[in-house]
Amino acid sequence: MRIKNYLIQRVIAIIPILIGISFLAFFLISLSPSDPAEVALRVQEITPTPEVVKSMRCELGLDKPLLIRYANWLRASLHGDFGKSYINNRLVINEIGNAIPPTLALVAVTLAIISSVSIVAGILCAVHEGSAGDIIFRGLIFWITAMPSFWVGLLLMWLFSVKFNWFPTSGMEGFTSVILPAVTLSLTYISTYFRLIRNNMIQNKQENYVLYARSLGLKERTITRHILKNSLQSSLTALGMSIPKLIAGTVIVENIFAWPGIGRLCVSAIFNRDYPIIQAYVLLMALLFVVCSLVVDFLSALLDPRLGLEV
Amino acid sequence: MTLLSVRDLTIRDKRNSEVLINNISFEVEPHSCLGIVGESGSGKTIACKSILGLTSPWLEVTGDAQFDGINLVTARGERVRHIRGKRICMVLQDSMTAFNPLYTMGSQMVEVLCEKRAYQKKTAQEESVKALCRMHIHEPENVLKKYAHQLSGGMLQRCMIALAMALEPDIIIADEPTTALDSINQLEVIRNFKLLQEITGMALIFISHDLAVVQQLAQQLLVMQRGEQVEYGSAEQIFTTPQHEYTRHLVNTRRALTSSFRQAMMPEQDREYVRSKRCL
Amino acid sequence: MLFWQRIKSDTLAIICISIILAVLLSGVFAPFIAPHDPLKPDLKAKFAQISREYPLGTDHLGRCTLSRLLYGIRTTVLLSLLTMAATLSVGTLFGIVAGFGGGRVDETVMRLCDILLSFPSEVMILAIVGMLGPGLANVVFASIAAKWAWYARMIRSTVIQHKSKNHIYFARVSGCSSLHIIQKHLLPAIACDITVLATLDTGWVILSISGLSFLSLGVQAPTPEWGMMLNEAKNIMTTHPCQMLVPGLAILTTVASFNFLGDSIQDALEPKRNYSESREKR
Repeated sequence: MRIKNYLIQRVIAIIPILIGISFLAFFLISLSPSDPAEVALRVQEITPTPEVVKSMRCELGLDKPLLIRYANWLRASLHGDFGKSYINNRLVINEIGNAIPPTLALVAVTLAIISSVSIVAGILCAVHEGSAGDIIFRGLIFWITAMPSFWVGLLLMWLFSVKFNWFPTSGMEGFTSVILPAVTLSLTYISTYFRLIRNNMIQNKQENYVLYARSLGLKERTITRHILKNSLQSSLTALGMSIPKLIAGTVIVENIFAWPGIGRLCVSAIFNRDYPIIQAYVLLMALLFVVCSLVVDFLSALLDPRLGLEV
Repeated sequence: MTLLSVRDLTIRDKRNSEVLINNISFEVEPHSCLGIVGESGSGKTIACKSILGLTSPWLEVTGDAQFDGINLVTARGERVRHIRGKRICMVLQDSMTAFNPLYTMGSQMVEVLCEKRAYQKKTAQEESVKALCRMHIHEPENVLKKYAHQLSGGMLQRCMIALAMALEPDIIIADEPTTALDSINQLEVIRNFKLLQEITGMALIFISHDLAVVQQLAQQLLVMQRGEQVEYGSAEQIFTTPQHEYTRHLVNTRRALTSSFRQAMMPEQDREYVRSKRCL
Repeated sequence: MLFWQRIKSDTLAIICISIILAVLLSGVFAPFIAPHDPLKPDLKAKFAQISREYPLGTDHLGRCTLSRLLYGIRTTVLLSLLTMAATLSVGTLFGIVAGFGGGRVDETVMRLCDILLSFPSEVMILAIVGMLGPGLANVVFASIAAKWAWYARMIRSTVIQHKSKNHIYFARVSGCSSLHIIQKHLLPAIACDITVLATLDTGWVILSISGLSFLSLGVQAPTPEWGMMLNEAKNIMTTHPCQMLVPGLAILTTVASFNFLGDSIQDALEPKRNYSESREKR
């Protein structure tokens, strides 16, 4: 199958999902028990008398029928206009735009930590399967996963910031401030990827092609290289999808370390009932997820000759 | 001078003390073919794997397998690894999964030849093409560019045999090479092995549960049943006058299968004649 | 009943089950076991040391830590189990309807699940809590809404797998009603898969609910809850770091027990383990 056709096919397939997502994100706001107009007024410290509420409703376009509102909202969103924050009346797109780079920086460092630790540990534990090191490391990882991330963050903060004073406790100043949040965030996810790579390698070790390669007397190093390539390939999808998961999972860590990313923005928006921001956050995260899974699927298909994608 | 001499080979499962192979002994002479026959599960494959040190870590192998002055059963891993591929080569049963699905056939064959025969990449490439030609494979360059899933089981089988040939070992162990193939390809493979022996004069250990196939190639025969050595000796002798009851049973069952086919294929008048004379 | 035999012989599983039972019972009988009222502040007894009167000391408002821990079980653990049960029920219902119904029904449910699963679960929970406002009920509802689609999908594929098995065909041919088939044949078959998934996920739910409470999005003060206790401990980290230990360890022990148990159940159901991966070598 040619690449162009494959891409077109996939994109067409996710269009209904994208529409569904956008509708759900839009519709989400109607879940709230309070009238968005009233909330907007209250936040801006204007007493919500009936006339003011009515005019606010007109202003926010809440008096039009559902589908029209959805269409308007969709059209505006596609142009990047998600409305204004209820709190400070700034454009939502700007607020989110300012919050994304810190989150991306955090995620990038976290990803580097996760990949290096899981891959190295996964390979070593698979090659020395059943050894003392393998068992100890697996046990350690297991306990770390059971620890709540907020507890780990607090402990690390106390140990390294308060006691040893190696890293700053919060905020985003200088390179060292990203270490503690990144380590905390990575600890939650390392277990999944470590296990994945280790299990893939162990499974591949038992494949017939490994037996054949061994029967031909190839060096152990060559065989391990083959196993590694196959295992990483199968882990590619999961590793690729870790990116949107991490971006979505920064909420707690950003709150503990006062990291000015979208997680912190979302939580403060929830406290302030700043619905436009919550809505935009939800929509962007879902879009990111879908697009990422498309890209990852595409890359896997490209790299796996069994799926017959021709350049 | 015997190439490979196996004495009292025993394999025991350490986990439950089950004995998988009990005191097998055989010899492989140069330029000859040893056929190992038996039903599925009789231990044919695992016996040969154990000689090359390819069994699972929970299996305990004892005995003597003398090859070129070394006991393969007790020798160090590295020494056995040097012998694998270069001196003793194995052609696996399941050809469809024998090659790494993510690498082209060419890259895999070249890699093996570079490592085992210390060729340069270019030489290895040429040798691979030559080997495929010798197996009468058309357009060998194209085949080398393909991936395993793009080739048929029969073609992959021939590639494995070609690779074995290119390595020029002393002994080739062929593990049920015809089992997964249809009868047309079976004949092809048997012809290929005959060709192999003629060209290179390598010794062959041919494992199969199909007596008819083994009969075409083997001079010596080892019959196995449930891990035990039932009969061992000259193939012709065993086929004509089987000593053990099990061997007789195998020979008779095979004969029954082929006889009804032969009968069905015979022209009408000959069939009547044969039936009247009570032959077959 | 080979499964029960295997579980019984697995010491780790027994330990986990005991811990979980102990925790659950303590939570249920908290009013009888707890030495003090978890909500009553006593500023004179602020940050008391471990003593006979206060077995785990007190917090910054002089409330007994042990009592808060015990009552916190109700909010954290029991509520998580309830959430899990509800998610499973909703997911199973939709899964069976989709798998058994097939055709249009299947398509619609699966499309819905696809859309819901496009949202990462944390995002979904935040969105719903965001709209409904902070509060424990909202957090529970959000958790159920976020996870049911995943279970529905799992169960649907299991149902489809089993649907084409012979014993279901026989049942159909002999005229059994669909409901009867579901009850007698399908549910026992998928019960194993559900159990494993559920146990492994309970840990996640506990972490999720306590995490949200840590952010003050779940329970509101002064309700005792393990995540909330950590939140309160955070503020006095520099002066009284030991306050962080107790609730954290409680969460760790409970979640670890559920995770270990989930692994054990999985092992007991599929004993196709290699020699080198044998249980003693965990």
